[in-house]
Amino acid sequence: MFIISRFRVQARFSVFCRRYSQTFANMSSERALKRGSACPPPHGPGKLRLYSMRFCTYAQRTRLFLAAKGIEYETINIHLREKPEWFLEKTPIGKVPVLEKDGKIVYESLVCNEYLDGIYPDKCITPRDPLEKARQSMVLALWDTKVAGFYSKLVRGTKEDERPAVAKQFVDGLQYIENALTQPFFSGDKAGALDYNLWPWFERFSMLKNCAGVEVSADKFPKLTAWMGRMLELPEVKACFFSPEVHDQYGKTLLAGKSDYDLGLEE
Amino acid sequence: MSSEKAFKTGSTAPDPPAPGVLRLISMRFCPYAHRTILALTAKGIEYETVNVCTVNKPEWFFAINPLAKVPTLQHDGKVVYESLVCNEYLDRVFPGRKLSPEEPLEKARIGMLQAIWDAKISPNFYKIANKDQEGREDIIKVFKEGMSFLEKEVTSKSFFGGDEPGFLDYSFWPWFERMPVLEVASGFKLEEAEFPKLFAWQAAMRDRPEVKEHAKDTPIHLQYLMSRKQGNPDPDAGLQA
Repeated sequence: MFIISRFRVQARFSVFCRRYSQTFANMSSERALKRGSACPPPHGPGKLRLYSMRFCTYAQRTRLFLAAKGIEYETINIHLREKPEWFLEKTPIGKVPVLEKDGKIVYESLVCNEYLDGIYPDKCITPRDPLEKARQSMVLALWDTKVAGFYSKLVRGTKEDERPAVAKQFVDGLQYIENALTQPFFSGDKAGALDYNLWPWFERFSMLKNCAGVEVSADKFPKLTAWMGRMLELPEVKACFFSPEVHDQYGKTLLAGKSDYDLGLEE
Repeated sequence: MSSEKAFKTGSTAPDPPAPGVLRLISMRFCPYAHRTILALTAKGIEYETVNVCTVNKPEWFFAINPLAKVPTLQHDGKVVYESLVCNEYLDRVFPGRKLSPEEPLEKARIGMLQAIWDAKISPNFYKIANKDQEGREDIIKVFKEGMSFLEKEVTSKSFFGGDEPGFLDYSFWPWFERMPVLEVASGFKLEEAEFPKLFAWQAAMRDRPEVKEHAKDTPIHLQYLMSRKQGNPDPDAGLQA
């Protein structure tokens, strides 16, 4: 009996490793397609494709949902400064993430995420309760209004004299998000939609320190700091993760106006 | 209680709504609040209104909604804000005609068209009114690009929502009601020859009872906008003294 149960544990573990490395391998081997590239032929019937960029925060929202739901998919990465013409025909807004399945296109990260829950109803992440769904949307609105813009300015480079004011607005805004966290995760006992939809920006907090000298301290933000620790333990977060060193390297290329979408890929 | 006159900075907070009463915190000229007013009326939901000045905001409003924006809904201690979040919430919680589809791809199409509106149309709307706006030609080009997506979507149906208006119709309508203001302010207007289906849609919307009930004419919209431009916003414009 001991031998059988050990085999079961091993089998489950190897499935986990295979899925983990499959997802990771899919994403880390794809060079970004540029203007002038040929449109990749459609993925097979019933198969899901994600148009993405390895370092895009919005695309990571959708990659987290895909990982959490255990959905198999193919990734095509897009060069965001020299977008392929065929990509702009698929989505008039020209941004990632974009999902494609059986010729149907869905874009906008939050729309993609809800759509995934709609077509793969197992392991539903989007809250079913209308008030809870509304609450999660309102926290995202707080993030968009009070934090996101200042975060972006800090990471993309602000003038030295403007930096303290922008940093203060960022830190003041982040307090609203700290206050919104009343349980272990934003969604409750377990990670849910709001956790995945916010996470990508938190994974890149080291960029704030290195680009703008802004630190998100555990003293000022104890709940967010604890939440970040919990998120980093989750397999779906690990499956989409890049280390602070890699994010910082990418951040430097972003600041120089020459984002290196293929950073870290083998030649 | 419904208050037509807007609460401003320094005002005393109104009593919270009575148990079971749905309150809408609004402003008579805000297009975002207008979206939720249309959804409430379309679904036949009873509610009371408290108007606030959205420029000189009452301090008590921040305690209810940290963004202190309209529309905000209050209902038995629950608070919902952001116009489209309010509209989705109302659609799911209250009975009456459904404004949104259940089918995932249909739902996604609503989100995508809304994203096009948010990217190409609403941020450029009032910029077009300003004749001296920098890059106005390019702004108009993007605005019209956005409108051409709407023109494509409203093809075989009367409304974006199908036989009757739905989520997107009420989301877009407030700006179409204000479109004549752009013409008065800067001579800009969409041409019917270029957007025939959108023009037919506008006529159909103007005929809807929920639209007529809350419609305001161009001169009063203009009066409010001018009062804002002059640094003295008058959310009570048009009300009897």
